[in-house]
Amino acid sequence: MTMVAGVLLLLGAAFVAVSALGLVRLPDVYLRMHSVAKAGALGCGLILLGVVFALPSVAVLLRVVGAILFVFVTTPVASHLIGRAAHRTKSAQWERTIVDEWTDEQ
Amino acid sequence: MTFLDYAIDGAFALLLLAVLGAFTRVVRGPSLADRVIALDLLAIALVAFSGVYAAESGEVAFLDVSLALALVAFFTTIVFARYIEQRGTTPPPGKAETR
Repeated sequence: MTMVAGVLLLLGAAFVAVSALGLVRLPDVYLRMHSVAKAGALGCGLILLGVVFALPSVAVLLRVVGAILFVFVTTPVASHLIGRAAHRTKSAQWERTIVDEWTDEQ
Repeated sequence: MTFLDYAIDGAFALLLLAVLGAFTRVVRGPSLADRVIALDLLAIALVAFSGVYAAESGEVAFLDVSLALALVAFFTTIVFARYIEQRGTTPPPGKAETR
């Protein structure tokens, strides 16, 4: 049980760290947003799941399920809004961007 | 120390690295959207940090803290996105537009 908890905590923290690495290294707003939205949310979910295995009880389980559902529902919405705002204010794109359907349509 | 204690310490270290990376992007980020994304990752790292601390201390109340942090982070991100859009369509008078 504690082995599973430790592995989940380490894995989740590694995902959050890789997401921060992407945030520092990737070339434009949209790619950075992609790194934060997916790897960050997955890492956070894994860590919260690890807490259930570290402290097995119903009170922890209920709070963790609520927190994971909340994070997984709100993170995509928030990053979609940021991406939309960045695109509408014509934020700079990477010079090797291949397709931008929203601009092509207009 | 058991394996779980080492894992908790390692998780704290990795999350601190993530906070450091997010801070460098807040300082460097060329546009406001970059900084808001970095703040979003900062909030995610804090939610995770609070969860790990709940596992370390055995105190369930820290999970409530992480839930409240996630809520606040969501609202700040949404409000910042609205602000970026509004500012983009109507730039303040007498100022050169900076993106």
